[in-house]
Amino acid sequence: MDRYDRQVRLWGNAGQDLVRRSHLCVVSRGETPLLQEILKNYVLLGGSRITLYLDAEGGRSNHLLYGDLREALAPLNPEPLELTTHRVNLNSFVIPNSERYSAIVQVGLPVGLRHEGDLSPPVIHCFARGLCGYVHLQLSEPHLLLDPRNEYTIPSLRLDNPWGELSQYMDSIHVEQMDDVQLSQLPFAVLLYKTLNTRRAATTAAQLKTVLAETYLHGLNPRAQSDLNYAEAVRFAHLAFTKNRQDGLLNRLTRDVCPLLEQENKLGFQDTMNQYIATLLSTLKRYADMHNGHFPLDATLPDMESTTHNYNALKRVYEAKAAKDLADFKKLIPGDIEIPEHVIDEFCRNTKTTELFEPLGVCRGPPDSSAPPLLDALKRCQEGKTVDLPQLNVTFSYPTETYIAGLVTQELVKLITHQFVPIDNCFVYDALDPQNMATCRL
Amino acid sequence: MDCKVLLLGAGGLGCELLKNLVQLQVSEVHIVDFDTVELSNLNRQFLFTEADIGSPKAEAAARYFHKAQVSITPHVCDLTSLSTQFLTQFDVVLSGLDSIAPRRHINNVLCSLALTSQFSTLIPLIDAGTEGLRGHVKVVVPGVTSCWECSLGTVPAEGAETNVPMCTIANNPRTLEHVVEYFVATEAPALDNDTTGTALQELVAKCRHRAQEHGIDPQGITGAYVMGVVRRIIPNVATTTAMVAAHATNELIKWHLDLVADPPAYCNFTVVNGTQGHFQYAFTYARDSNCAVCSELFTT
Repeated sequence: MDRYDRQVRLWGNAGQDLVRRSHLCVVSRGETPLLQEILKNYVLLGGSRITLYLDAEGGRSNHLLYGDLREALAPLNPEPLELTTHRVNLNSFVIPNSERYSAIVQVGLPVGLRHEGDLSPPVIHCFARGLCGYVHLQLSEPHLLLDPRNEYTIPSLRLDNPWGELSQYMDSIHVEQMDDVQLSQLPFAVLLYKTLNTRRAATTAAQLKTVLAETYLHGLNPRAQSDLNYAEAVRFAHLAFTKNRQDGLLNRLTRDVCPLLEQENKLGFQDTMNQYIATLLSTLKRYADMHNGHFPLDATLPDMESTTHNYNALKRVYEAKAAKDLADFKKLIPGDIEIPEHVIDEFCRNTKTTELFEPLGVCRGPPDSSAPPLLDALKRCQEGKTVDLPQLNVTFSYPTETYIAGLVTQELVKLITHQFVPIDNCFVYDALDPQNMATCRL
Repeated sequence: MDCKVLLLGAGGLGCELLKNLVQLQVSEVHIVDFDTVELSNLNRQFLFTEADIGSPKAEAAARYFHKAQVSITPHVCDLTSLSTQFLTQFDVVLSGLDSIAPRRHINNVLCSLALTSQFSTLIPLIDAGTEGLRGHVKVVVPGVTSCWECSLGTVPAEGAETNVPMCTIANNPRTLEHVVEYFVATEAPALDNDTTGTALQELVAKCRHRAQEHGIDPQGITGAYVMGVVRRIIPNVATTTAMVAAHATNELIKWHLDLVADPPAYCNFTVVNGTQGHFQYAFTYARDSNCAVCSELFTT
């Protein structure tokens, strides 16, 4: 079994490949547990290219896990470790733009460093003291998501807005000629479609359930009460209505995302994956305009109680439509950018998720008017001031540094893979008082 | 830190917990795990290398810190075989286990110890767990907080059989999972962790054949997929493991340094979730007044 099997199950082989090819820039005053733990995690995850800037005057903390960083990190990843360390004067240091870093981590520095050029890769600031710490993500361009990796998604059944082949398929099923056994073997999508197309209009799930009970249970199939497919039809009646949701997503795309992309495109995206996704989002808008407001169909059909034969037949209808939509979508992608096929496929699979239409760093609202008081206290500590809070003065800070390092690398993976939703944009940790634990937008 | 710790589990959480304990310079650690190192552990179990594959985890973990000033004693055994007498020597038990039964066992033993000793042997249990980007930390102080058993309802049934009805698996398979579950139910395959092994290859071939027989596209049936379903593999990553283990260690620090202001109102149950931003929430898990394990502790 593969070394990365347990995490590939989270972000896939393509995501793992992005982690493997990433290049991390880390800036720290000296060698600290927080720095060592961040590098340890990054190399464990499969990263191997690190450029480290340490202050010329910076020393080494006491009680470090690793004596020799390079020697300790090398066995954690079978790929050769490319760790380049520079000693610089952090007071006047400007992060060079010569390397295209995937992200920059500033460890424990009280002020942000300047970066050459207008655009910087994502910057993560982090600090830990006593039982507290924080992680702050700073973006200079919107972060676009490819896959939020939601465990549950709402399928686009389009029963309220069927395309020709779906209607034809549904109409070819003559429920009125079926006996109760045959009826019990139909996928719930068929029952819902048939109910929607009775003379009784239903525009909400509640209405649909009423009509379903009246026309099906008290009409067509009085023995359906204990049928699993009927139970599913009642439970999933809301899935019959996909048009409102689709309209909402299109509205977000038109209102929030497209103007933003236009503005950003003038500057150009620094991150290649952002550039891909921005292109795909613009293409999606054109696709929707040409297809009556619809996005390409996602073929993922939820499992439905039925015979294998009936389910397969329905699945084929969805798969054929999804394949055609994907091909049509691909034709619309501008020829001047070459986007890997798997990125296009993954994007199209996820156009039903809200998170794709909420670019991080821009669309999620203004900064919070007040940051948690603990954050201010932590920043005062960073500047070398004394703060009289018991949780800040606990001498055993190693686990907290580990926690903050874990969070930093977790967010790095999200940024690099464009999967899962990153923090927006600051998380404050307090192991002593859970009341202080908070996410805020700085 | 003058503290003698029993550490249960030397997996992802165990490696992180042991490292934290060594960094805190606790006085002594005993580490218990009967499992051996596998390649798929190495994305997070950073105390091991490929050279350790096949070695007992507890011994390999102790070996990593052979130069540390902390005394580490490995025990390659099932933790349920540890005697009560042995347990009484510890100040605290930390657990990073991957299943429910041993957690219930240690909770039960520690609660019984508090009861029979009339609270003179009071050993807190700090339990950590992860799955994907999620995790929990539960602190059990017998007679003070709710115990592990009180929150049993929050965890899924152990080794849960699939939720798919047997008639679907047998007669109406519709998904790849249904196809693989058929062989789980009929053959109970014992797969080791080897993707190149003949047992797995044969099973993959059978699954593909069954999928095709039922008109299901067999494309997604790979060794890793079949292994995932058969062994109920839980995804795990170094980042979440590090955070959850770190928070569990901080719980130890809080109790050890007596920083918990109001023990009965203490937020002993923490959940962590990194899938949408980052979320951590702690609350006081209410005691089950009829708890089979700990209710007596509150009446005596």
